[in-house]
Amino acid sequence: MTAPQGHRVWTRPEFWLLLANFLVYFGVLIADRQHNFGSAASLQLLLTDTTMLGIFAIGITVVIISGGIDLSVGSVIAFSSIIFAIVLKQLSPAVIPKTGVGPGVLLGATAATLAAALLVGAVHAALITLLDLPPFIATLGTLIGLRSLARVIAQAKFGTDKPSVTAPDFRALYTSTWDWHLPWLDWPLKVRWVPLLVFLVVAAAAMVLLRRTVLGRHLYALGGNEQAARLSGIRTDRLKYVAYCLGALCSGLAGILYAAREGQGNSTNLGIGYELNAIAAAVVGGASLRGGVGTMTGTILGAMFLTLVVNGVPNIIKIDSTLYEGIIVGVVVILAVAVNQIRGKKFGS
Amino acid sequence: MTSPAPIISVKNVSVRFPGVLALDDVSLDVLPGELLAIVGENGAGKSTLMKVLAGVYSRYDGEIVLRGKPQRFQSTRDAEHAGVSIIHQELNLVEELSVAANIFLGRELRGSFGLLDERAMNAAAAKLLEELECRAAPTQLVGRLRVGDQQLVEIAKALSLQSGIVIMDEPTSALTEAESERLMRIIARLKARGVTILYISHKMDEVFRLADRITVLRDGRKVSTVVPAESSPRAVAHLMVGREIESASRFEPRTPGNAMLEARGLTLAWPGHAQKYRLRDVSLKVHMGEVLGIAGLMGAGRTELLECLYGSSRVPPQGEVLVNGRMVSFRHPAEALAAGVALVTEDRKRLGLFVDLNVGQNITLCQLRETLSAGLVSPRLERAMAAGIVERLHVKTPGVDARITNLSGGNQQKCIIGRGLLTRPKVLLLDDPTRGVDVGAKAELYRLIDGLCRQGLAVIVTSSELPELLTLSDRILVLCEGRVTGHFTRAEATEQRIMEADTARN
Repeated sequence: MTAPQGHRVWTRPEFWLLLANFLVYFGVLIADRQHNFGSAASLQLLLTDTTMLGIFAIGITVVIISGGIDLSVGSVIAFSSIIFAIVLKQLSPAVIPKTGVGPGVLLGATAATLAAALLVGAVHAALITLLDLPPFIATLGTLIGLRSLARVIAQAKFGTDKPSVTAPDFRALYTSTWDWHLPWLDWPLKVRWVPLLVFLVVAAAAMVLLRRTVLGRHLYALGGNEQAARLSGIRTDRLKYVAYCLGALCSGLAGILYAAREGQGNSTNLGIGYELNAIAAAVVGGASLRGGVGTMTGTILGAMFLTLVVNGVPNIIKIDSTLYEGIIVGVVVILAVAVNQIRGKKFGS
Repeated sequence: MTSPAPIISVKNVSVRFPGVLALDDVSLDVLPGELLAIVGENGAGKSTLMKVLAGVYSRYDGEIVLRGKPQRFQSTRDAEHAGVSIIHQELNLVEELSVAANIFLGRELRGSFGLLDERAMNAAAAKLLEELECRAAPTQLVGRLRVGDQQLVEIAKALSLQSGIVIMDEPTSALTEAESERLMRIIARLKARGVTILYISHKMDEVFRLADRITVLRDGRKVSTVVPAESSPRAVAHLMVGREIESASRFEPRTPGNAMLEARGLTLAWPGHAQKYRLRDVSLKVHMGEVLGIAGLMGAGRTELLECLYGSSRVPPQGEVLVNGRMVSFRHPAEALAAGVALVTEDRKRLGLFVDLNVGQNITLCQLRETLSAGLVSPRLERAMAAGIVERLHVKTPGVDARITNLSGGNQQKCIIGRGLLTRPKVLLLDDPTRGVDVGAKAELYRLIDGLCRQGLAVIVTSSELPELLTLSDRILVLCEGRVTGHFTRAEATEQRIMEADTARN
């Protein structure tokens, strides 16, 4: 047997994306004369932002590989933060600012939130399989509707759009850090380890799912050719439930962590537009919106790339950087995908 | 015999597709105002020739002379400008637009300010439709019309283009008796107006009724042109088939065992369609170690029949299906596979291949569960499983990691057959398995099917090519408009007899 295509490292999109990541990082490092980008604080932000984006980008990648799309990510994040706040208050009505609510309550609230997220995923799949709605429409509906529903619930329960959750052990999910001494840094890198751990577990699970399970292969088959998948005896409808539930589950996890960051459930402005970041990460990472194509490594590198660019802009443009951020990120995303496409054609896809 | 100058001269036209010579040095003349029928078996090159004339294919060798001037159409628009319209077998209408909008599509009438002049278009459309005895209103959506009326909309479009030449590709294949009658009248009227018509069909009765001359194509070549008065349907059918099938090209007789699959009175409704049924009361039986061939023209219900047996039809069929003596009613292909019935689909690209998966992954897809080790897919076992099929079916591939799209049609087909075989079926359904496969690979697939059959598999194979069915089958069932119109054993079957059953109406 001759050497198969796609095994030489430079023919793989992930290789180029990794290179692009290094290029952006060192490019910003060199262009930024004050060298803030190389500081421990900046690295911490890069790492945390990448992991947070990574968590729900992984979810949407599963959906995209299965040939669908999930536009509801941002609203599911906001919705989850509210569900979490409600369940937490339900389980632990008394305010205990010092000691916190205890691991049992945290676990209970987490379980309830993830169950709610799963329900959202199941509703998506039901709309798509039973009513034959296009995924774009089904999840557009929940993108609009869920945020409003979250507000209604928050208002009914707490009389506010942003119920605060100040229990210290809950906040610690985001704030607690672990010092990592890197030889080239004067200060230790303070790693927010809970989001990192969640990200690593989700990423590892997704990687195994997509690469080494029957379910994962069937997801690729479904996205690649739905009719052929059905005719190959794959229960395509059931598989869609799996894909959308996994997608929503990841958003739910991110919602809990964002709530911990903000110290509140937030139904109004948490997660707005995050679905687009997630789609961008997946697509930059080589996923195809036509379905059937995409990898976990690609999406993770894509999330890292996007975070690098977003965080790098203010280091280069010192004045009014937010003014230009959108333009730069937009151009870079289009460029990255275009390069990927051209490269893909060259290596015969 | 003196004849007027031809309106169209086709001179030495050849069309080559990858691996096939679809038209081989065809020359013919069409006289102004005549109706020339073009007949031939499936794959004889009729539709290809028409597509060359209508500008659908612009890559061909040879020359087309239209009204004395050499022409080479680059698009159907070019052809329409030159007064040549084609009415395809699969109609070319936008279902979501109105009748009038379809008739004037691309040449919309405009009024003041360049806005659409709906009123003028509707009025013009109404006039055209009236001429064609079509009761559809110009404002009706085309998608709501019956097929026969949709076809008339296409004809109205051709008329509105002032086309002097109209090509009709098997126009009656989807029509009811009454609709066909109406079409015959309209064609006669068009002829009276001096329109030249090229009429493709394999229905002898129509051809003999309408045609001034009949040209027979076979295997991409022009065989002969005859005048109906001097010929007979039987003679023309013989010209279409041509070659005698030597029994030597058939396989050694096989000895069938027990009945593996049986269907009794399968009926599949076709709601909202003039024909009402895709399948009507079809019964069949196939035994272990036997190949049952299903013959039939396009739209006869071959694919639908296999879909019913495999549980993949959208609407569940009525009737009984028995696998190995047990009554089954599959609602999903997964159930059919579990019961030992596998299907290799007709349209490989659309329904069979996963272009994003490699050769090995395409092969193992249905049986990936067997490569699990500690709950995870073992790449080593998966490769071994795929390599086993590659070796057993002689798939020519650089390796199991190669892209499936880099393989030839025949080898892709072997991979898909392999996918089915891995499920250890008792019954293998093959829907036109050699479509788009070159001649050498065809012979190899035949040997493969024969070999599988001798290992005890029951095989049902459909094909649009009669020689193929005669080579492969122990018995042949002929479908026409969803009904069984013929049943031949190996000894009885000839192309002639099958062709007659193929085109039997009622």
